[in-house]
Amino acid sequence: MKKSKGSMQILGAAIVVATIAVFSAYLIYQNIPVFIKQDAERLAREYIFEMEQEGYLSAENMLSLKKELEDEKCKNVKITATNSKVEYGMHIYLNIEYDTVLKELSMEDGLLPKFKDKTITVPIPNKTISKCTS
Amino acid sequence: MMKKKYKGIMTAFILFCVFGVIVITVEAVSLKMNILRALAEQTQTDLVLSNSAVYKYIDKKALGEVEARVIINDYTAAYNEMKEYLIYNMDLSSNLTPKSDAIIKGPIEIKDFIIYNVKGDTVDVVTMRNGTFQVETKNKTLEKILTPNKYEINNTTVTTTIEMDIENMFGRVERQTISVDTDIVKKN
Repeated sequence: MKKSKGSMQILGAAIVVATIAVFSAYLIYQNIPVFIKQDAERLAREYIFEMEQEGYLSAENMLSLKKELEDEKCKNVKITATNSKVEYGMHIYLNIEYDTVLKELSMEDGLLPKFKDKTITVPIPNKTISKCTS
Repeated sequence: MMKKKYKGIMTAFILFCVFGVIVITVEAVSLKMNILRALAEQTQTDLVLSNSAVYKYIDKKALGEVEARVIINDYTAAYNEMKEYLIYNMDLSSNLTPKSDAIIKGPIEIKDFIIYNVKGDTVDVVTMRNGTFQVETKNKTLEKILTPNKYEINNTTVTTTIEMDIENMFGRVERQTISVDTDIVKKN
């Protein structure tokens, strides 16, 4: 009887320890898409400010932006942008969309929580005015 | 002896739980801070891009004068343009409510929209209040003209201030103000 009580206590303790570890890992995972989005927004910022001066996004720059986004772990990157030079005062845009994987906690099969992947599409819209005078 | 050992294991377990709770709390706070920092950075960029949209309404006649001036005379059009770009850049619906952001609660409010039109030594400070524009002329040789963010006016500048409810730590909602000055001559 005493032995069984001890086993229950060990099992209880193991569940508490596992829950703390899983929850801690979950919070660490949650930072990853935040950092990816921060990097993607920083890149979008750099390119739209350059576009303001140039009046468009060249094909070369579009490829280079796509590569930089993929290097930052953005998946299925889609870029649409003003791709031919527009005059001063006309609007220019740079829209980025990419997929990112979120880790979600799921209790579907079993006692302990498990991680489940959920893919979401993140939009980064940017629109401003061309200041290109040349 | 057995009791002492059991007590020791229990103490170690309780210490582990306390340590675990502290680690999780620190991680949760750091995650929320990262999300809020990213939101603040992006909102500032959105405001700079939207402020820059008023460039479209620079008075071309004044720009072509002997003493070229970069000024904006169509205040309403400039405001509407800034608002339209803000809606686009922040991914808002027409009532200024975020379409997808779960951190911003409810609609954002455009609190201030100020155009500082620099005309030589004088500056027309055009402030939008309750849908109407008030113009006050100041002399920058007599006084330092500062925006609400303490940016000194030397060139024509646009200041936009927005307010929004942000879900802060532990679900608490707080009113946050973000204000950006955009020098439309020398972009900052």
